Amino acid sequence: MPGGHVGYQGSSLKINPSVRNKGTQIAPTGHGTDPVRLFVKGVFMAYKGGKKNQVNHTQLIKLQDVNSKEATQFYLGKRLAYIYKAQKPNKEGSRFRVIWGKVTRSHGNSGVVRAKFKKNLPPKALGKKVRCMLYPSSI
Amino acid sequence: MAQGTWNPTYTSQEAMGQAGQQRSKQKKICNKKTVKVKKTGEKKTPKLRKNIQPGQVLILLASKFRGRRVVFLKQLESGLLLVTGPYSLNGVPVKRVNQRYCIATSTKVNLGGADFKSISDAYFAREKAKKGAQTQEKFFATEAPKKVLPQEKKDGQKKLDEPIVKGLAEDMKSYLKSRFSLSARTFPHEMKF
Repeated sequence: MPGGHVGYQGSSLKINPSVRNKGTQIAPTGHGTDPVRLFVKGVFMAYKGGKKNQVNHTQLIKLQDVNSKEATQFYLGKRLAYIYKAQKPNKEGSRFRVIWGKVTRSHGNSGVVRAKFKKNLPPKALGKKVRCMLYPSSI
Repeated sequence: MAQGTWNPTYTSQEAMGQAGQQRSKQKKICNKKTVKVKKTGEKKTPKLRKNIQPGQVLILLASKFRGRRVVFLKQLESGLLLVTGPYSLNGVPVKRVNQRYCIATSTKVNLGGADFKSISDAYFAREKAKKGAQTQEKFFATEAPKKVLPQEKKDGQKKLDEPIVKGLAEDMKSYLKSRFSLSARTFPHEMKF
């Protein structure tokens, strides 16, 4: 997947979550290594469901400062990443793992968004941060 | 219900009923027999978004160079966008980018007649490893041969960037050097690029 590297770019951060590429990325000519955030912060609020039922394959995500249905239009189709740490490092030496997903539709009138992930998010992710990337972009 | 006799002489309309009428309306009566020929291997170049013009400044959203502002040159046959830093300003070489992984800003840069006609998808093709040299030494070789960009490509990069960089004002240069980032109070759905 082209959008694989999930991280703050810049060597000034101690922890640099690099999921698909090797550790800290330093720009070749040393231009601007301040951390760069190219995602919108979100929170995994709940699974879809009502009083009695829970639908685990659809997650509800609250994106920061997206407070209306109209505002969610921008985010439809954008990729989501739930990042978590694991004990064993992967081939590239990173301990961070991702579950990718995407924003499928809005949920209600207040900017909450429904999402589907490649694998359903684990319940321990409830309340945890999720990153909404800015791609696939249509602007 | 009509009394008594079963009248066999229905009009054709009555006989076929509503569904039948629909079917007969939709029946195509044409003399030509058009045979659809599947054109295998013919790929259309994906549409270029309206707001992307040559010389436009794009923000890369993913890959090693995410956040970098780059100059759009042209769309390649494969649909990918040909883009350059320019290299001397922000370290982004001539590169292919998918449309979906960049944001087009409203800033445009004068390309100044930069020559990138010769660059196509073939320029970016990987070097094919020579077959048959599977000797024992190579198999156990611990060091993979380093991939160094050939000098001619490096020169080509410089040559390409020259006219673009020349035509840039100082503030545009620092704009291209800087990186895009979201901060605490900036939200993309409210931003105008």
